[in-house]
Amino acid sequence: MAASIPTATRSFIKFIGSELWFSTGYRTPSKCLTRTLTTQSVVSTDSEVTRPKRRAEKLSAAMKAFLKRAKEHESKINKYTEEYELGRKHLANMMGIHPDEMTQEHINEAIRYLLPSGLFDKGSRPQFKHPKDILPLNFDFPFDKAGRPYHYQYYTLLPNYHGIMSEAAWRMECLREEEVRIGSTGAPPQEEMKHLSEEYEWMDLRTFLNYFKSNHSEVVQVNEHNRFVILMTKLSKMRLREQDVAFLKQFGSPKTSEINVMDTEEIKKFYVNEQGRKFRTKNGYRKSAIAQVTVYAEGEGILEISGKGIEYFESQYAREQVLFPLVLTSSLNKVDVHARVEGGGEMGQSGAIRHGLSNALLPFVSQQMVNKLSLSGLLDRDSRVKERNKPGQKKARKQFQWYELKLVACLCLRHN
Amino acid sequence: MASVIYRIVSKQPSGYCINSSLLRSSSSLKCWQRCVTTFRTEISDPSEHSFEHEGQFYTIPKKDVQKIFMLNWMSPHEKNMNKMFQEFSILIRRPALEVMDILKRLNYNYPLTRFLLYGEMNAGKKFTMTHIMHYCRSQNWVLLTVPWANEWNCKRLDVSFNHHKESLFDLPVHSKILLEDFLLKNMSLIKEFTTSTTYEFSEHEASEQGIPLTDLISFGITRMKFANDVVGALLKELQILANNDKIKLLVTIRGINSFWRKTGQKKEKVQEIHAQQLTLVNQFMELLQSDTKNAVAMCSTESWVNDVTDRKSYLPTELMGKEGVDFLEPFLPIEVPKYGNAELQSVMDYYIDRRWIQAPEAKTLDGRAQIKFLSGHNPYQLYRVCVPL
Repeated sequence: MAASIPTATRSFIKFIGSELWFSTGYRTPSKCLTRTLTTQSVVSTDSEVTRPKRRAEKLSAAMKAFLKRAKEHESKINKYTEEYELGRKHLANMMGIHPDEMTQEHINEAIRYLLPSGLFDKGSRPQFKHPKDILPLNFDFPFDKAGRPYHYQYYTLLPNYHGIMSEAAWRMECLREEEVRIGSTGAPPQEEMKHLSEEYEWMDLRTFLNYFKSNHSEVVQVNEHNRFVILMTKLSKMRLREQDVAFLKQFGSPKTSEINVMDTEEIKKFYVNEQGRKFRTKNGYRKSAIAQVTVYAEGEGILEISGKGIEYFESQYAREQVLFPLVLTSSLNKVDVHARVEGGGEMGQSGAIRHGLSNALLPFVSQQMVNKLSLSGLLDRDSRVKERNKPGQKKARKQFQWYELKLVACLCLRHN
Repeated sequence: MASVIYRIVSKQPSGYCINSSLLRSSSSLKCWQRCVTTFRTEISDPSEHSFEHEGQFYTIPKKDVQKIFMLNWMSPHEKNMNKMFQEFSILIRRPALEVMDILKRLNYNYPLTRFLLYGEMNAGKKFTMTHIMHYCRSQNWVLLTVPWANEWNCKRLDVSFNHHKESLFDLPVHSKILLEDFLLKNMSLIKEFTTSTTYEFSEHEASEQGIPLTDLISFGITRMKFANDVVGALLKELQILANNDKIKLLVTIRGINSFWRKTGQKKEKVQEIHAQQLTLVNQFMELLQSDTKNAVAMCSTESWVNDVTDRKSYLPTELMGKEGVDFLEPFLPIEVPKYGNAELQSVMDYYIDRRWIQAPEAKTLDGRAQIKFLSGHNPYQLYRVCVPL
């Protein structure tokens, strides 16, 4: 929603000058969200420096230093480009190709051949590129001719970082106002507002530092990264509009990509019925009970266990075992379940159904939920089995009663 | 569909009222059209209940509770509920409404009509019977109740031999309880009536013609030896009164399939006694097969009667056996089903209103769906699931 201020208004602002800047003192959220947050491309420096000082415009000390740095940067780039061109011609000569026909791929191949390296990080291997790919060409002037900065956070020394943080904070204020307005008046929201369905992971420290260094040449610290993460998580937990989601997606992504515990094709297999319904059958095991569970997608919540409903199980604990995977995947009334159980007792059968159910639900569920299920242990067979009876004991652990007479008898025998 | 205005309360989330009313699905169309979140009516007179009130609760006034139900009919579980909720309120359900509908239109000149309620365990047969009894009491019927017929089949009861017939056995204590119960319920209605013939209980003692019925009954209460005979006499008197269009009689027997089972007792510790050898059973069977006008019998087959291992079926043919079905035919079978979706929601609303469900997660839609799943649409199981909440 950020719109750039066109040039006419900029010139208008220049001439009106200080009055306009100070009149817009306390900024409301709606106004702030329409402000520009982009810096401008630079006008050529030489023309400004060589123009005679007709209107008594004196350059400040900061401006002078800035111009000096710009000049140095430019000279550096020119030097590097000359070196690059020279080297390129030599390389072309060595390879036997015409320098105009040589592409970057040829150069890369040649470097890999001439200077092979086994370094893991490909960014630190030897490279031969045009300086425009490596160094930033545009040396931006973040302020206008009179020395007034364009970015409204320029004097924080980290304008882009603080710009992003304050934008996030202003969005939170907007959303809070909306919620209060909805709650007090009962009117529907102006735009569609939704919670994020998955947890988002924000940029880790390295990418964060890189982002600001490469794009805006700002050096950010670890503290700033911590604050950034806290703010973004806070914002992501509110009800968001589409623009807020787009804003957040610049800095984070859903958490699925990192750990994919189970990502095979077998998990996503399902069959299709004669009537066109998707289903999947899986066996579940617990102690000595075997359950065959079929799950039909796009269902109403029907449950059938060997011809009966959930009254097949009398105890509440057994019923909750069947309920648990459905509640975790939030598919209580969206899925039909048909099961057939044999062997074992009540608890064993309910555990077997749970095992089969959670395995059969996998293709109809998001990847994040698959990770959750596998980490929770619902997909594994419970390996606890009845312990064997041992000789010299009554049962697995229970021992025969200990008599004192035995000892006395032994001692008497020995004496004799 | 009528348009409804909602006033949103600040503490509840905004979409709650709308969602709960839209999710309710019921068998009758009129429930669907009712888009308001109510689960109660204020009409406590059951003669005014109609199919519009299906799925709603109504409270029985305290006087009726104490007079009719408190003594023998309510189990300790229901008495607890009465204490907790400070009221006794019943869900209005379809089987009760059907029976009441039939009762309003019956031609009472025909002989005894027999209803048979059947259903799964804890499906709500007893509460339908309470509803119908309340209705009949509001129409000033005489109520004769047998709250649990399997009591006569227990072990270690005081059984004595019958004087008149040697093959039958008496149950003095239970007949005394029956008579006491009957007297307390129907005192105001029987004041005027008198006996029509003499009844001889033994050589020396007999009741004469023209004694008020209350005296007969109190004689039976005081002299337990003759209580069973008094019961027989009472039943005959009631038949005569009903045939003469003076009273209307409602007989309720809960657990009628115990009539065709063996009792747990043995005569002189050797010979087993069958329920057909009890006088009480024979007396009631005579009453059920008689041709009295102005009388209605309401029976229910319960699978509680059987042993723990035998409780899988709930159909009357399997519970009563061939003998029972042949005896009772022709009867009107009425099935008492488990809760439908609309009824479940209104019951949960009632529990929340009475503070039986207190956990905040249980009041959300997800929580309700989970409770519905766990209870399996069974009324008693729903109660048990909500106990720890």
